[in-house]
Amino acid sequence: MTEWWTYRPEHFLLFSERVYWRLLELYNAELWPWQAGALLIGVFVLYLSWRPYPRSGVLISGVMGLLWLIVAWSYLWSHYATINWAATYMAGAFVVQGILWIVIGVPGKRFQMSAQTGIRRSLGGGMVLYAVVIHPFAAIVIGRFPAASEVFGLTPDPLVIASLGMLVLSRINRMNLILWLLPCLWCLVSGVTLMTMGSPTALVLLLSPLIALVAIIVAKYQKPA
Amino acid sequence: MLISDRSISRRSLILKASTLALSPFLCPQIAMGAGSGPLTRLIPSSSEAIPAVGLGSWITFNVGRDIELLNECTAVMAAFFEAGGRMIDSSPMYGSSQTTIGYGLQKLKAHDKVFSAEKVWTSGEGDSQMEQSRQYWTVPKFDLMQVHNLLSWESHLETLQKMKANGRVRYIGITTSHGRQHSLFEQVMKEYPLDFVQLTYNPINTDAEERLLPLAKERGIAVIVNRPFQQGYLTERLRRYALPAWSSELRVTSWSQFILKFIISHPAVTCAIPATTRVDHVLENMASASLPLPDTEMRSRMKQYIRNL
Repeated sequence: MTEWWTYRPEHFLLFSERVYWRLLELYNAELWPWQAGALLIGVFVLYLSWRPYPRSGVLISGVMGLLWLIVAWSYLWSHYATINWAATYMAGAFVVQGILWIVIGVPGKRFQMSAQTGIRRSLGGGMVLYAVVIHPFAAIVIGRFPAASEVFGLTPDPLVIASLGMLVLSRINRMNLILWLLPCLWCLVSGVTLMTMGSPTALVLLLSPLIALVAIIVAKYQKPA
Repeated sequence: MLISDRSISRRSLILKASTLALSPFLCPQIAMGAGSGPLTRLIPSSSEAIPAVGLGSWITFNVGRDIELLNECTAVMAAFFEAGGRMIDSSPMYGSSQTTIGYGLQKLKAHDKVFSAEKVWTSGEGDSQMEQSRQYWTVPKFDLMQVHNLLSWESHLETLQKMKANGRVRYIGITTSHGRQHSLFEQVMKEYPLDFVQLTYNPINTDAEERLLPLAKERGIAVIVNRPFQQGYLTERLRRYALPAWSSELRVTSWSQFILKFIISHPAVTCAIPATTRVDHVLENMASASLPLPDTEMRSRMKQYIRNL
């Protein structure tokens, strides 16, 4: 990129705010009533992450892996790519993330939920709760509820926020550290996109990785010696 | 002082008519559209006349498969052609804008009206991309093919020159925007036989006035101006201010017309390509391709006025 210092975020925005939200509305209309099923899956995952049992990690990894693959195909590749050519590359990255969830968590069993307490439980659980239950209502802020609601499991933003929340609630090991990379990158890309369009929900995306990291760091120093 | 058609006396009307008839000879860059059509400019390499205001498609025509929005864009194109417009500009970089234009052209059966200005934008081989673009536009061939932002310009210009020689494209050119890469742009303008260049120029972004616009005039290269309203930020910022009283001499009714008249009155500029999603805006833009145009003194006053706001 030549003269890169002259570029600003709005120079990369290929579409208008109206087109972006209408795309979500049309997507939701096409998928209805699958949103109800996705919400049920979300509640199931929320329950598993809040009250873990020995096989929670395997179940969550499998479900999350599948949801990342579904979002890659149904939203990024089939819809978002019609207004943003970069979404084809994003779809590829989501496929990789979905496969990683499955490979690391199901046969490898390297994604394990743990009964977290304190700030990790509050912030991690809070992020999953927000993504599944509250984020769909964020469309109220932009005056497009419920038509343009972003539902967990069918759209990228709530899926990514929930993923970060689950990573906060899980046992951190060398293998699942790699699962942090794409959600953090997506939060930055989507957050800047929303910010450029003047959407207040940008703040949620931009803050999510920070909240997740703060939860991990603070919890580390809160542990008794 | 204005290049004006405001005079109302019989004598001045006769004078005006004869001046307009002779205008292509007095000033080779300026010609009048037939009848009540828009003001046109001559493409230096061919002397073909083209309306001084065209239609951009960056962001505005990237609407995906949304039928409602596709029809809105078609309405904009219909109003544009109805007002005498011809040049529509797009790029593979602009999302679904190319397919939107193709949809509109087919629906309006307007393939004979459009002056298709497209770009090649790839670091690889350009032939397949240009063919894909042509299919999206649903045109038999492009009128103008430009190298987008000078990406792989050496290999693409070689290809474009061959395409022009074979009659697969009528004109070739290069583009830049936001005032970037002007030194390289200048070098290519000096070394290659170009029909068109496309660059950013408006009362705030005037870098092109220093070297590129004079060079285009000297080399006989047509100039397309992109980002006339800084993607809407300039007109949005000016909206809170009233037009200066003296702007009535230009017969402008909006800031967009004020800016477009400033741009197209530059002697090197051939066509400005504002983008819009609104029919009223496209009509307003097309109406600015009309006399009177500001002279050098007035242009300087216009620029200074906007910069002081």
